[in-house]
Amino acid sequence: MKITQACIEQIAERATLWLSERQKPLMAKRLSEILERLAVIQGVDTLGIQLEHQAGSPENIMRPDTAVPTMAQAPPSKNTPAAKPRSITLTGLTALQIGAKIQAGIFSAVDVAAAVWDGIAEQDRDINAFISHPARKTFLAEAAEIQEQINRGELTSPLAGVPIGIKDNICTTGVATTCASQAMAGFVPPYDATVAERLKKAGMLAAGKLNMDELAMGSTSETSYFGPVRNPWAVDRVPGGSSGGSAAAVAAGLVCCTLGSDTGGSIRQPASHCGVTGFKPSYGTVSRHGLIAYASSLDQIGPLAHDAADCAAIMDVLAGQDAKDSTTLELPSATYLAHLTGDIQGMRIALPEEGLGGGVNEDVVASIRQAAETFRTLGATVEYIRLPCLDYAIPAYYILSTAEASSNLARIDRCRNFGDEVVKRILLGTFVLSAEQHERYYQKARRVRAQISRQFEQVFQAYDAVLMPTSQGTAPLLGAGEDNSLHNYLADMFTVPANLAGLPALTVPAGFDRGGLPIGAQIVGGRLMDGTVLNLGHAFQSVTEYHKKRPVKEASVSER
Amino acid sequence: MNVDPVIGLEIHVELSTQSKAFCSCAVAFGGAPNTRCCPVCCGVPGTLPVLNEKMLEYAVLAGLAFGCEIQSYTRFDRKNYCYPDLPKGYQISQHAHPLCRGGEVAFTLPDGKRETAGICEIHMEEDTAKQSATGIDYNRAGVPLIEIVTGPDFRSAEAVLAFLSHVKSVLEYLEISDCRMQEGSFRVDVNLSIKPSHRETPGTRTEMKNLSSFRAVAAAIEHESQRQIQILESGGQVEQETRRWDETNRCSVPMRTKVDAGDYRYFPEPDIPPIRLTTEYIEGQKAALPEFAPALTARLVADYGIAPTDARIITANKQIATLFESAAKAAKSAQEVARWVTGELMYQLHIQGMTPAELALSPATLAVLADAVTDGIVNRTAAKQVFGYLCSGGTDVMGYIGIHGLGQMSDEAVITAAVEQVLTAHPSVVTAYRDGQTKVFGFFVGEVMQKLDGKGNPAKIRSALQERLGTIH
Ligand SMILES: [Zn+2]
Repeated sequence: MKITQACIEQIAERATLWLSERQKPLMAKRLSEILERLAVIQGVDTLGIQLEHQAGSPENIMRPDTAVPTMAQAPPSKNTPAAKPRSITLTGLTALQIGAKIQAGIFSAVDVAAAVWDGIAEQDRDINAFISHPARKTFLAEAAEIQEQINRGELTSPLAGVPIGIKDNICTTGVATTCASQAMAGFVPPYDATVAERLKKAGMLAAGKLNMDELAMGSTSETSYFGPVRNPWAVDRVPGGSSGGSAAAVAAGLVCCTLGSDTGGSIRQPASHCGVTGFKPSYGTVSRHGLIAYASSLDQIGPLAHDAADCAAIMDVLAGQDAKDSTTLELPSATYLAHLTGDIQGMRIALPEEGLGGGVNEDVVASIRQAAETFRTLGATVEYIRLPCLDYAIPAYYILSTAEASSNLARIDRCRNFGDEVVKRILLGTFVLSAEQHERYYQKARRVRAQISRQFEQVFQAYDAVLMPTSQGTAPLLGAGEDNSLHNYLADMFTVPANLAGLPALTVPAGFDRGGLPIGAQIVGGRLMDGTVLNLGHAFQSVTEYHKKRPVKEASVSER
Repeated sequence: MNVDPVIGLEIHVELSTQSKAFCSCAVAFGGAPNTRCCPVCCGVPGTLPVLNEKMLEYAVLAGLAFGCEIQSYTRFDRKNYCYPDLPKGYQISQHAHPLCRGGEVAFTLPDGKRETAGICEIHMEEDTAKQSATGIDYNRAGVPLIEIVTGPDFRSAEAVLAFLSHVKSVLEYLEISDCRMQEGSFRVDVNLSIKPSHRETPGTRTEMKNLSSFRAVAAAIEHESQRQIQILESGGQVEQETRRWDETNRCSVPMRTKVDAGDYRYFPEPDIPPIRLTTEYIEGQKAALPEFAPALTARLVADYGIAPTDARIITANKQIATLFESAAKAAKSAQEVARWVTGELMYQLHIQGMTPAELALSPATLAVLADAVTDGIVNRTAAKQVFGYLCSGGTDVMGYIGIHGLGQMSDEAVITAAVEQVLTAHPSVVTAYRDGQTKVFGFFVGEVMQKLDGKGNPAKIRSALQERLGTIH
């Protein structure tokens, strides 16, 4: 389908989006290109497919009809003066290890906070992982307050006192939340996201807000208004995206764990490119209240850290039903950490052939085959399967995510400048929802989505998990996609199915390409089988060392 | 040209829940701007809607009361459009799966003729913010609404008004809305087209908004019918458009609309899971439906022997009907209670500009007063003074009668003496009466009552007068 400039102007008017003269022909070209790619879903057989409202179709838990007085003010913080911190090194330590040292009194929370703060101040210049971070005095005072609570025995969480970075699309009271967009300038949320609240309750310290693709739209973290994030393994390369800052900060050792958000792979793909572990939980597991929505039916917040155990520990903090998010589910009370037995004897793992050929980089294929071998040695069975939905998950994802985004972003002032990628997606979303195209694109994509869910359901009747690449390749060079907007079109083909079907998916470091860049293997589980997925990752990491490798700081230009 | 207007209605009703549709801000009218809003209803990025269970319950009740079929699967959709009073850039509404479908409402025209109108659907949605000269007030944003959509089933303003009164009464009986048109809690949009009688299908329709009273609805229908007829008679075409009724100038003006205003790009609201209603839930709500005005009118006539006209006045308002029935049960004469409710009570409400809800009068007190009249302890004239005292918060009927000496004079000797004095003072009137002008009898009653400071027992005065006048020949 060819989109003319006049057509673009009409769509922009419908979307109440202002376009520059430069953008009009550019958008006409980009929309035409993408629509050509999307045509493939018309051929997907969706006859007799029952539409589902969203993955898992949770029961609507309503609110009792009680009025609460408006806008309670946050109590002023006590501002405990911090004792002078001792100099410590956190290199190589995981979140759980740091937490254990704090509980044991080997480190104080203030020592840890100071080390993290100084590390960010010193080393983030090269990486640009953080958009903002608190003043040193404030940060250390918060750590001191947590240390006092630990001393009084009030905080026994295994992660109390551990600093964590937060992707800058998650609201934190009184701290500018930018989504790396100029359009969000001046937005200071008057409330905490549920995840931020839960982190605080567990005694974790917000170490700052992390850089990302503008409004989470992208897979390179280059579209940020605050400049691109660089990959700590090779600073001329991208870290992946959209949670590029979240992955790079962990890889660079700035913080040991971070929160990201994943709409189509935004946690897993950067985790893969940065050699860290990243987890996208089942849809409805973690509250989205306070996450600036990209595509509400796909978005999920999740952890990035060095290993699956840290991810499980953070999930224990984040997960659970939230009265402020109707799409959250009541979960079984067992903790995720409790699932990490490391025993995967007899587990059945499916290996889609689509992940071992086609456009997939041969080093990646080799790493996935090797990972399959590792699982076999751990006592699991691995069998090849076909997963045809991988061929049309991307178009369905593009249509649904941009449709929802075009509506979600309507609350953000559109007279301000959005970047080209955001503009493209708003235009596409407006187009596919328009009365004339609704049936052909939006409705068809919903049917395809339901079909994909069904395909996975069938797979999980016979298997416990699916093993496949996270990404087709390793981290691309900065600016590689500049001239070709479809350069990254297939970058998410292995990650979007988990979002469309609401499934838990974990990326674990599984090797390096010949240029020394990290490769991540992806483990996708059945709906709400998050514990199983984390345990598979944990078992894998108990016999592999990839997740313990750290980039060499001097390495600045890659060889390739 | 022989023509009929074809009229359909869209009625937006604000539900009187405690809190808003998707957040816990209070629902109320008036007050300082932006005092009942929060990040959710102001559309602050990152916030999510959580459905108020009462909104659903109220909407189900309305659907059942209007004979609709309550859908076992219902969901919210986003209606996307850009307008300053829409903080999120979309309205959470229902489109593909409204809560209630179908339904038929029978109502009575002023001449007693019965008519019916079809209900196409009733759906739930959130109200918008309010734009004012000083800015945007979010107090109204997110207030729960139901929209009742009728078929094009009306042919006259008279039928529309009768239907609206009926709908309003039903909603008031359900106690799910204040239904105050001036305050915007009951808003009516009129869709109107003209069907020349020789044609099968109606012509192009227009939609009229901003009708803030029944009077405005009637005037707008009249005006729009004439406007369209004139266009058609002069060979023109009626344009499909939304018009705004200007009450001051009593005319309608086209509203400025965008080219694509009609394309709302609906899609399922991903932040709110769909709702599945069980048969048990729906049946439970059905069992909780109250007795509505028409049935209650018939029952009050049958059970209490009051006149149908009185019963209709009483049941026009549920609170008044409840007050009447409780008082009538406690009092010796239901008719006496009905007399007070339809007369003095209505009068007091009118002159004090109060709603029945604001009335301080308890049924027990009303019964005591009615009994005092029935028993001849006070006459009606004096009792009106007692009633005024009760309406301003008083409760002690007998005490008040005692303190103010309002007790009825029944002493026959005193009454006879007063009668004697009056007849002696007006010999010419007595002559007139004797000549057959019996209507002057009332004059004598009034004069005697005045002599007795208004406290005389009217029955006793009458019989004393009759007796005395009968002897004068
Ligand atoms: Zn609110």
